[in-house]
Amino acid sequence: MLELAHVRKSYDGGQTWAVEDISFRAEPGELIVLLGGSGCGKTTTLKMINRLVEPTSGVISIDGRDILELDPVVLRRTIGYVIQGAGLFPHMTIGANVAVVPKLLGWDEDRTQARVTELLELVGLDPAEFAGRLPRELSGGQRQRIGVARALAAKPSIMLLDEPFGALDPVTRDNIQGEFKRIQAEVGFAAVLVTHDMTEALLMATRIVVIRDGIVAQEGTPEELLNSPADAFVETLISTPRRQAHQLEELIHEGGEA
Amino acid sequence: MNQELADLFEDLPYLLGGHLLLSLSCVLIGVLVSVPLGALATRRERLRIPLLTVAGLIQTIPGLALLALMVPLLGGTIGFLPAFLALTLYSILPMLQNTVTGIMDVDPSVTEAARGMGMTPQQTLLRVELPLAMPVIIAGIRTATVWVVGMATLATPVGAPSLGQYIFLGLQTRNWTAVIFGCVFSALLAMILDQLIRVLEISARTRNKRMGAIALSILAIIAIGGVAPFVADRMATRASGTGSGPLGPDVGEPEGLSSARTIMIGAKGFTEQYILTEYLEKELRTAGADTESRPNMGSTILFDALRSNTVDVCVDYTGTIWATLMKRKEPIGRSEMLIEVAHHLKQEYGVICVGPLGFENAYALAMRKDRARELGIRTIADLARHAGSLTVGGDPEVFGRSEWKRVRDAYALGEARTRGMDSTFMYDAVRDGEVDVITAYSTDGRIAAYDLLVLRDPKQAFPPYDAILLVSPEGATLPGLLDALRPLVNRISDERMREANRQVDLESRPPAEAAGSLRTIR
Repeated sequence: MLELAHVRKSYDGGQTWAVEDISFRAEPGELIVLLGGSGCGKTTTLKMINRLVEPTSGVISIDGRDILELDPVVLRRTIGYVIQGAGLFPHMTIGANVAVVPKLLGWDEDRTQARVTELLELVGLDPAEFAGRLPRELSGGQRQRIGVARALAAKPSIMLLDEPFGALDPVTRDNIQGEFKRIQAEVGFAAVLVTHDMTEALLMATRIVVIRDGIVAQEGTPEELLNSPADAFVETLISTPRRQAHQLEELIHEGGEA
Repeated sequence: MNQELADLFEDLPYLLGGHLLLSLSCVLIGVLVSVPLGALATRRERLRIPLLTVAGLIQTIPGLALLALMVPLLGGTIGFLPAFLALTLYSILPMLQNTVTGIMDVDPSVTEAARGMGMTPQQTLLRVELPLAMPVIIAGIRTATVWVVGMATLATPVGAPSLGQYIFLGLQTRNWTAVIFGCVFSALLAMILDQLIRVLEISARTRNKRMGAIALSILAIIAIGGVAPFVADRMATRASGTGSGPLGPDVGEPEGLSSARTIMIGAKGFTEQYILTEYLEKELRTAGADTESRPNMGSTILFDALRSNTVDVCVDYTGTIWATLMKRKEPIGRSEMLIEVAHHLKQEYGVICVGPLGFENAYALAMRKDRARELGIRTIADLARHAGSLTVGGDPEVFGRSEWKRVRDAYALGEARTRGMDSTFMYDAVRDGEVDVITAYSTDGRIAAYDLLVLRDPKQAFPPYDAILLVSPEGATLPGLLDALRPLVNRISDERMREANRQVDLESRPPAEAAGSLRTIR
């Protein structure tokens, strides 16, 4: 279980706060969405979990252990990390990309290869066809699937995703979101996903943490957010998907009547 | 194929091998220095600008100057080492720059992914950044290689064997075939290496391992095949130096010279010196010694090499040593200067002056006879009246020397314009009227051939320039060497030397042949 307690981050010795006070927990199987506008501190919060950014104060713990006590390199190898555009290594084949963390962990060749095959199947890409290809030979959606497969390679108990589906077209995106939920249900890790897209948050999250100016504006399930927004800010955020849903419903009705 | 080309081809394996060895070792060591340094510079921002600035500054030093500077910096060492150091320094900039650019241009999301997945900074560098920057780095290696192969032709004056030997020798002896020969082969070498490295670059860009392996193999074959004859030649020289001696006729006269090590003869880069080198080699070989020569060295580089025992024997001129080494401004009589110079060399450097060769190669002002008549000029003093409208041509060295300044002041030539040029061209320049007067060498065959008048020097402002035979401190201890050289004292007259020079400069005969004519007159 991942837990953040009053985590803060300042880059200028405390004059301004990129992250002022964030607390939340993520149980295995849960998908926590950190939602907010650009510059609100959601990505900084995510990067503090795998120590790409060091917190100024507060405690982040995994299964009760303060992560500051761990070697950051060792820590990162136990946490899956997916970024926008996948960040695949362009000079390595798909197979080699997926095998990066197992190799860093010193797995033997057979075990690594078996894992690569297993993961490519898990994300719905035929290993025989794809393992030997280079990232540039794949579509954006396929690359993002590989990004997820690569993050899952060493069976992490926590996955961090930074706007992972932001650059994809709507159909691919819908597809891969569903796929990710299926994989999570199958594997059972805890996931923290950063997005500014309320629709994505509502469709994917177990719980949503709405962040504004570095503090938690509201935390709740998608239903709780839709039914009782804590303030005007959250209200504005959910008004767009709500309105769009109504408009779509009307369109469908009109189509049905015609 | 005619004989001239055949002669040029004969030296090709050795010189091409030397050229290749020098170029490739510079680039190889350059890579080993630049790539880690470049990688470090991407990590330490404070280091980046100073490093690139220094590398850029080295690049602005003219190549020939950088090469020549290495000799005194290395305490007079000549040959491979100074050339290697200078060219390696020269090769660093493009490789350093491209390493830095290549690494900094790697997509930041890729390096972030690497960190986020748990790669250490070193793993990120070795497994992600360097492989991705490789095409750019190879492009830098390519640039450096082409530069270094071109620059290696300039290694001749510091005594490193390279294709530059053809070019320098050809320029001095007006053997244009040799100049073009040297240029063509150095250009060919640069082009072949350039194209092979281009293939490597493409294979790195397209990640085509097979193509890269083929290009690398061809490079390796060229490197080994090209360098082999050079190395074999060097080893043979070394072995025979310590061995039983050469096959030459053993006259048995100087005891022990045949068992001594190889005698290194150094020479400056002009016709007379080439001829004298051949002359000395022939004489010493006759005496049973094994010899090797380093022609085309700069004047001060040659002396540094002599006093540090890199060169054993050379011919210098009293006036040169008087002005440049002893820093004396007032000239004295010919025989007094000879004594003082010999004494100074022995005291200061342990260099032994065996004695004068017999001729003098002094600076002298010369102009076309018809022009001199027209202006009514017979002596240097007569020039003063026309100083304002005269241009004096000379080798770049002479105008910086005190004797020119003294002549200028003694005869009030301050208003005359001076124009430095390679000594090969100054005789043509005065003949064709491009300059009015030249600082000719009194033994040059072209003075008579071009109908030039040597202006008298009533104030004796030009110092004497007796050719003297010098031996390094270590050379003086070699058994038999001094004995072998002593018979050469006072053997060559001004006329004989001028005639030998003329044969090479005007009849395009090889220096070795002219040297033969110096020997037969005994």
